[in-house]
Amino acid sequence: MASDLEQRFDVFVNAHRDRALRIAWRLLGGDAAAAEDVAQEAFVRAYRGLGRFRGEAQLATWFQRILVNEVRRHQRWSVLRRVRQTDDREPDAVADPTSEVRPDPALRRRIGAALAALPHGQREAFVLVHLEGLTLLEAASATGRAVGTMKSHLHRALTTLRSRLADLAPEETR
Amino acid sequence: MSDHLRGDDHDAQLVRQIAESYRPRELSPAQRVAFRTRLDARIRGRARLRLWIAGAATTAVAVLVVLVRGTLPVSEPAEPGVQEAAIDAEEALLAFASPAPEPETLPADYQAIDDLLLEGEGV
Repeated sequence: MASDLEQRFDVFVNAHRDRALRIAWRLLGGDAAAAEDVAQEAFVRAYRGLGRFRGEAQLATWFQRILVNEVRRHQRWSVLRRVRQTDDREPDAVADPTSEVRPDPALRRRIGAALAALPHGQREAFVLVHLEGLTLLEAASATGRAVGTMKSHLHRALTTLRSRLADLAPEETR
Repeated sequence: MSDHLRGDDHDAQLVRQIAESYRPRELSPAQRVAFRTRLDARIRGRARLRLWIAGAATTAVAVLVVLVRGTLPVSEPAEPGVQEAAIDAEEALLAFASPAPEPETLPADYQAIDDLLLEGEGV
């Protein structure tokens, strides 16, 4: 019974690890250490409740909700500790020789700053729906907000980013 | 990337560029193993912490019970006068409830035989 749970958890971690780290990283302004801490905490919580779930879709939605809650918890504590989430240092500064060619660090900082300037709700909506490809319903479930609210957040976030990063898209078409 | 932007090429392009430029480095196999090792350690740590908390809570409850029982008033023996009065009252109640039995007497025939036997014995 216990080994069955361990096996399921192993599969679950392998299936969700990279995306969990990416979502946390994007929501936390590119802080790799914080993203790992948050993702691990979400997995610890998932480990305790894994036995209650059977379907993978249900499990994924549930885990995304845990993850978003952990991100929010981390952000609350960060505010209390007066830790700035977006500073001038290069996010994810730990070098990884095996990873692929990195995008322009200055561009990444600019995008990070633009995303960090969005209100929490708009940032969550933009990251989950536009960057991670969740459906509106999935994102609404993960954030505990109504679908209509998510649509509104998405619209506002895109309007703001369009004006702040207006030069990005044309650069790509050169 | 999202499907919600298909109608607007410029927005779709912007979002695509953000998605491509703003993402963490992919974990190497060694980093994945390290991640899992740290996760397992964290799970074990939490399990130990839960056990410790349960033990501490049990101990605290036990100590609390001992302390509460220690402060409860203990029934002390009554004073001698009060105790005697209580015994008297109990005896009176018993006497009222069970009157003293009548002295046993033999029927007349048996009494005559009993008398004869006693006389024979020189009583």
